[in-house]
Amino acid sequence: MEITGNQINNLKQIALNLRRNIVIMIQSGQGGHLGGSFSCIEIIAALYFSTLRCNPQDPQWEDRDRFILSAGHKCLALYSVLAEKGYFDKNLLKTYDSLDSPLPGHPDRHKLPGVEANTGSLGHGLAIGGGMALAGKIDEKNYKVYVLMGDGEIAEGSVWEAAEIASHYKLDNLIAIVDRNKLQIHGNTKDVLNTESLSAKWSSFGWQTLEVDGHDFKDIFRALKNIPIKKDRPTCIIANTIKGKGLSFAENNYKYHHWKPTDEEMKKALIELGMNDL
Amino acid sequence: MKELNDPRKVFGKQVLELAKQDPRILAISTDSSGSSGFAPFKEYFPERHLEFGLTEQAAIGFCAGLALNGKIPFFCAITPFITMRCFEQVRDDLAYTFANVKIVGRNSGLDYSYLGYTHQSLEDIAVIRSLPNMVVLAPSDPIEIRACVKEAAEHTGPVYIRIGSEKMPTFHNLSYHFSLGKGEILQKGRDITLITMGGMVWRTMEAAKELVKLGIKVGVISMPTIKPLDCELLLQVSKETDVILTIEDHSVVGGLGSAVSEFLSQENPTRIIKLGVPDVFSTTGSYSELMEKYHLSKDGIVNSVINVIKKKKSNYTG
Repeated sequence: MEITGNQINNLKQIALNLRRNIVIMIQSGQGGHLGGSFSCIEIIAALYFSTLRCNPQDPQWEDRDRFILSAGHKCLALYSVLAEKGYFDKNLLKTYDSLDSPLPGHPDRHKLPGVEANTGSLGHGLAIGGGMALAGKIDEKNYKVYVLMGDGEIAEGSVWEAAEIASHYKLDNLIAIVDRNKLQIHGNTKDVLNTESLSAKWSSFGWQTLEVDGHDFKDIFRALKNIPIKKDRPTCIIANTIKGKGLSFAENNYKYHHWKPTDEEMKKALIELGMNDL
Repeated sequence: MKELNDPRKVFGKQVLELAKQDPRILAISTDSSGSSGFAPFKEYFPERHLEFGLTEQAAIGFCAGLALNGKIPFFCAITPFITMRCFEQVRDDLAYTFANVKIVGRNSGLDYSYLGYTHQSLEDIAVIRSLPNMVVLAPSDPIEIRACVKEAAEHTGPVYIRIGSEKMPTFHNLSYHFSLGKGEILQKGRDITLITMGGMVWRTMEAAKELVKLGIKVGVISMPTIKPLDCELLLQVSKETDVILTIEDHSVVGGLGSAVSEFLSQENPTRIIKLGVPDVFSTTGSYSELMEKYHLSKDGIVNSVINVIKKKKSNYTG
């Protein structure tokens, strides 16, 4: 199944809205993890607006597809999409990072509807998602579980323990998505700790692996619509992305992993995202 | 001598019995189902026993995911591996998440006497009780193990149960009623009260019999729930006894003795002596040798009490 031009245009507008929501949160919280939240926006938009079976009016619907943000610091992307989907009032975005906010610096499932797991420490999400996928198999449910990780996160050993278990239990309802923006807090991922070759690693762990352009809806859509690619095998989608994608000064610059905007930068961001007139 | 039972087998059988009534219950192991007491479970419910190999960190995460989708996983493994190797997963994925997972540390304390410090577990209570939302249980005999496992299954939220592997006698009656968060007064005594847990309880009772013969009025309290602690009982005991001796097959740093001290130092300052493994790396030897070495055998407890009483008297006279 191919995505239509209209759908692509629609998703592009949603992606823009999601980035705008993030800037609103960063403005309110006076900082936030920009780089990774912007690099995964197209993936998140495609998931929530073309793929996931979910119901914002019934967040705990037992047949829903689950989305786990294993890289919990990208929570701005998650809050943004949950707001855009209608899980909560968009006004809440302005409480980001304030005292006792339901939108803390890392997601908390007890505070915000639609959040599936309390992530933040890296390398936890794949196992939690794996457990959900395994429960789905035991209960003969049809839901799928999507887990988004960063490429820096892949260095964590617990990721590979979870990958082994998922493969052993033939969890073809489990999809790992690696947001490979090639940067982490302290620089190039290949310099901090080279985790390449990702495809070969995931394949050797028994996962069906494919690479996509993480900013190209056609490519993302094609991958998401063909899961499982192979019966009985979990899927790993390696999404090649640009950290900070959408803001010229932040793109491919590891210093924007976490952004505390100056007034000047914020002005620029508002112009680039067309928010001045909003 | 009364019949002795392996606590792991008692535990595993009870999980199986409960699983027959509750389809949500699963047994989880990391390459040690037999020695975790799950052999009968595995035979009866092969599809409800999940083997995760040597992946304690991911196993806790999988348990959390299973629990968030309505399952009640009972995950049993060697104590340091299930409490400390994966401590952050227990912290984030179970406690913080409030996942309905039951983790069971086996061969706790000094039970792996010959295998040395890596396999012995002297810090598990200290680390696990530091987490909000966690319930920490250390049952003292087969009847209490069964009761604690049942309580864990019925309680919503994460629970840690500490069991040993040394065979233990049954001293509770079948009519015994276990209540979460409640301690049990086994005997009262004005001179000194011994507060203990798990496999140390029956040893302490044996020691108490000797002490009574020596004319010492000794009380014995069993604390099967370390968290939440029975503060009401502690307050009562602190008012009725001159000195408290806590006894545990655990480090004196952070365990039962620390929990008792933390509470009473604020609410009713009381003299508390902690008998346990001192702040050292434990050594190897036979189980009975280690218990002797750390004064946790019957004689060790008796002598410790006598020393405390002597000191108390010399303080009065001095």
